[in-house]
Amino acid sequence: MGNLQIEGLCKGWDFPVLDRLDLTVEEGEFFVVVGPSGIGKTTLLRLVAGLEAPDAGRIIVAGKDITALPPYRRRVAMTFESYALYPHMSVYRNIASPLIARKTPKAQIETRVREVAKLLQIEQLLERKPGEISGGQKQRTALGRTLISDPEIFLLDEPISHLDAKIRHELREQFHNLEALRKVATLYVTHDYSEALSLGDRVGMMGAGGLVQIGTPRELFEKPANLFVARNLGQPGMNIVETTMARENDKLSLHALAGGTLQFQLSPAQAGRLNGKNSGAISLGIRPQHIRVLVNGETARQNEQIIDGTVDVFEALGATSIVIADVGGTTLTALGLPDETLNYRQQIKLAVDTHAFHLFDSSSGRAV
Amino acid sequence: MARITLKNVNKIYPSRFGEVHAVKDFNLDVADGEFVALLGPSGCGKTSTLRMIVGLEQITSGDISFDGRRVNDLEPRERNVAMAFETYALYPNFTIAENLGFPLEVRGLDEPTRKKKIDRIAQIMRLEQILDQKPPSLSGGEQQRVSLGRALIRDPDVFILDEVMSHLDANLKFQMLLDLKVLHRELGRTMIYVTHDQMEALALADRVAVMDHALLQQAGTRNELYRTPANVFVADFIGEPPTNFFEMSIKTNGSALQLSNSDGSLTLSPPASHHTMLTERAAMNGMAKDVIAAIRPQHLSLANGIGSTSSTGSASGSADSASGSADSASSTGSNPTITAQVQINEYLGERSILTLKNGGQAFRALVPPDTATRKGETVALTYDPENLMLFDKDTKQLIA
Amino acid sequence: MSEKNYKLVKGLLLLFVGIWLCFTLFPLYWQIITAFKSPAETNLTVPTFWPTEWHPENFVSVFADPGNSKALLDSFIIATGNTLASLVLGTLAGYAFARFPKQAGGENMAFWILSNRMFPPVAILIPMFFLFDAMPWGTDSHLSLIILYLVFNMPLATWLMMVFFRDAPRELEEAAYLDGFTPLQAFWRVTLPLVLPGMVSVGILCWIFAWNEYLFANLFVGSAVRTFTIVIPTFTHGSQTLWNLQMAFSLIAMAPPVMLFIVLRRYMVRGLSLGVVKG
Repeated sequence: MGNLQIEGLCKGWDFPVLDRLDLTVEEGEFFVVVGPSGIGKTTLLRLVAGLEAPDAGRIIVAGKDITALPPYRRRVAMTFESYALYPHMSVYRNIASPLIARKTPKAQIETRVREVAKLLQIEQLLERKPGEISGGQKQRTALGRTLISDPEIFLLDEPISHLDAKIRHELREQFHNLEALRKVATLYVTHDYSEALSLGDRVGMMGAGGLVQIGTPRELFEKPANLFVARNLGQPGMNIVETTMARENDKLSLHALAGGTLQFQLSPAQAGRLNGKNSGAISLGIRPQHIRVLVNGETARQNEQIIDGTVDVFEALGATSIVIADVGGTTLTALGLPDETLNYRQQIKLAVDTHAFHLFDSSSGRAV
Repeated sequence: MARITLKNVNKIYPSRFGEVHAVKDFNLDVADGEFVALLGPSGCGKTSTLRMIVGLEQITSGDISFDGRRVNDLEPRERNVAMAFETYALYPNFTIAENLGFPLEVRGLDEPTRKKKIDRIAQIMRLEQILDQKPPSLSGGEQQRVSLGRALIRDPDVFILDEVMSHLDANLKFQMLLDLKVLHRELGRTMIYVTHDQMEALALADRVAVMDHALLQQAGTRNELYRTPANVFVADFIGEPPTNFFEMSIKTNGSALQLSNSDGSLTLSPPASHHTMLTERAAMNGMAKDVIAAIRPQHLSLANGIGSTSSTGSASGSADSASGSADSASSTGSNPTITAQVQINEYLGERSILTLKNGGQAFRALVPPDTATRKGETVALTYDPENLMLFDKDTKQLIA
Repeated sequence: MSEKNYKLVKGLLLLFVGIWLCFTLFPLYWQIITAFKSPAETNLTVPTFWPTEWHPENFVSVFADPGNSKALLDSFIIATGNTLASLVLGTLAGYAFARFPKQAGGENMAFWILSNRMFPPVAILIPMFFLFDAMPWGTDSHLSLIILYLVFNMPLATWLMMVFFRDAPRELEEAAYLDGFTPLQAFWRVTLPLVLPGMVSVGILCWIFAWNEYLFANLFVGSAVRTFTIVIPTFTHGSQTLWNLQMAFSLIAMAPPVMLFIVLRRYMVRGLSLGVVKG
């Protein structure tokens, strides 16, 4: 047992994928790496597993440098996005595989496999072959094979992304409840931000070359360090309005660049964060759930500014609905209740929570 | 333009193991210009239904008509139906414009007419910028838009989409949903959309037809499917996060009426409008007393002041929570509550999901993202009895 | 497709298949009936399409000469020995080409190996004879043909095994490394079972080639070792060919490959469905 330290890790093929990545995952920590597909998340896992050799940098587990060890000498367990179950072996033999590799006595293997299978609710499948079970069951089997090996590090590569919504809920619950996963350092990779927020003790957003921001789920979602992080967390994504800042009698206001009349006043606190900056381009981020559609003559709450809009698209989803409205040439997405049906081109009033604004410097993309 | 009617449609496949009844007595009326989604788990018969509408599959019995004209024996090309598939099937060495124009070229349209139609479709599908590129240089979402555009360009009466989004990732999917919505609005064509993803179906379609085990379970608008699901399957299949189900039996105590689980540790208050019917069932013997109650996670909310701030829900409080009950019937006016222990508080950004446990019963509630309850804490949840759905335990059908 | 068209297409297909079957099966039919005829009936100027008298004892008379049964045994030893050698060498080489293409010499090397299969065999007939004649085991031995047939079977086995190994997902091997298996153990426990159906198919192809080979056998062996292919032309009595015995013997020689195929067919079919990891 121990922590996982990654120091100055570099890996590239025709172009750099990871560029001097540093990360420490503590013992017992569940660390989620989230980011768009193809950004190098899996490469990071494969480097830690020893399936790829780094171009530079070190991987240290519990104080011991394992960079040069082959995968079968590292005490690392990994699930693959494709599950990578052995098709010619029964579920039982698949799960038992790491113990067989370590020449564990038969009786002990039997006990451990039954234990793990019970935990994952796949006891009744032990005699079947992977070709005869469902996707969710395959994933549980793959998970069983990782759990049984009692490793120092867990690596999970998109373990539930390809499953149906309902099974995803079940397995997410399982990840929360599995003691084994919460005891050692775990590195979990996904492109689904809700998995990352749900599961991670800490979350790292991966962009080109490495981790762009590391923090608790709340920090990332509520205080994104830059536009990239803001854009990649949330569904529907954050509204980003390009604005210019202007000072009018002691108050700062933002004017939408798309023309039209959309403008917002900034509170003194927000203005304070700008460090005296009072002009220039600002990207204004507003999460859809901070824009409410006012119905039946509702009025604004504290901190809300009311704007007029026209409905472009209305979609009632499960527990929410999405309204895409045109506000003086700027398109804003709002999250609402699904019960009020809105029609195309309907005039509506939107209440925007001005305290929930995210302000970014347009040129650098960094939060201000 | 076409209205599609399916009347007692059956599809039976012969197989080595006997006959497979893929679609059973399917009846559905799709209005002219309507957007209908066929929704169901894999193997439910939705693809067979679709293939019969298109004409790729023979109809074993029953009739399919377009605008009242029976089309059973017409070849696919005679039905004027366009279909887009999950795979894009674009010609890689043609430009996007050539790909779009191909169905027209085959039909011998002249260059200027083709150009006009290509420009119009490109505008609707937002492809103007990429008309000169070739498919391999496009993203998955763009390729899918081209493939939809190509299917649409010859102005079909009916437009059919078969799982067109199932391999797009979440962000692209979301954008595609909007595109399709706008597309339907612009074209006003009859559209049938086949999917296994409830979110897509609900977001897009005017009406959703839910299928399972070769049978049409229910066809209705989003609100109908949400509020009055015909049976347990529909209530379970439609709902994100998944619907909570409770096995209950009706208990009467004088005039008070309650639903209670087997050991009485959990009780629920049925809606007032159902009281008479439930009293009648309770008077009957046997199975009629047993019902399955369902409530959606978004219809459960944390009761103010209870649970979220109290610290009683530590380890010692667990014995208490097992007997958690609703003081419902007595507390008239205010909504009844359920107490339960928090198992997981999942922060998801826009919202949080609480996974709760009361005795052996697990369920979920959707709460605001700033909810600060912890594992093991005991909380009280309120619900509006009108949001409770009741099903017969035996038939699994909605009662009342 | 409407009901009427469907029936028409189906009818045409059946007709076509019927004609094709008549064409391919006639020689076999002729071989079978000839094997049951009397010597006199085989030599009629107007041939009979059905034996007037059945002589099943032809199948026993074939073995009156013990050399004939020994020929079948010799062929069996050579075919089986060669198949095993081809499989071992082909599997190892195929794995190397599939997983370590650079170290193994790349595409060019793999192609060069396959190209060995492409030249006309007769071109090396004489050089090979002198080469093998200089070997301690000589030409007239089991070992000489077992080794010689590698020239044809090993490129085939290598090439096909390379394709099968390429199709076997690398991730399964990686999963085995992470389970704690060394590369050799992972190969033995995970990868090899995955390509086993492919190996069976390759084995059948190699075995049938070695079993049926005539040209080299005719030149190389003949006294100490005789394969059945060089025995078949020897069924003569004076200047007369004993057609009935010859046909009976060739029928017997056809049985092993047919049986081999029937027994292992299930394996070959399974090979097609095993490659699936996901889904």
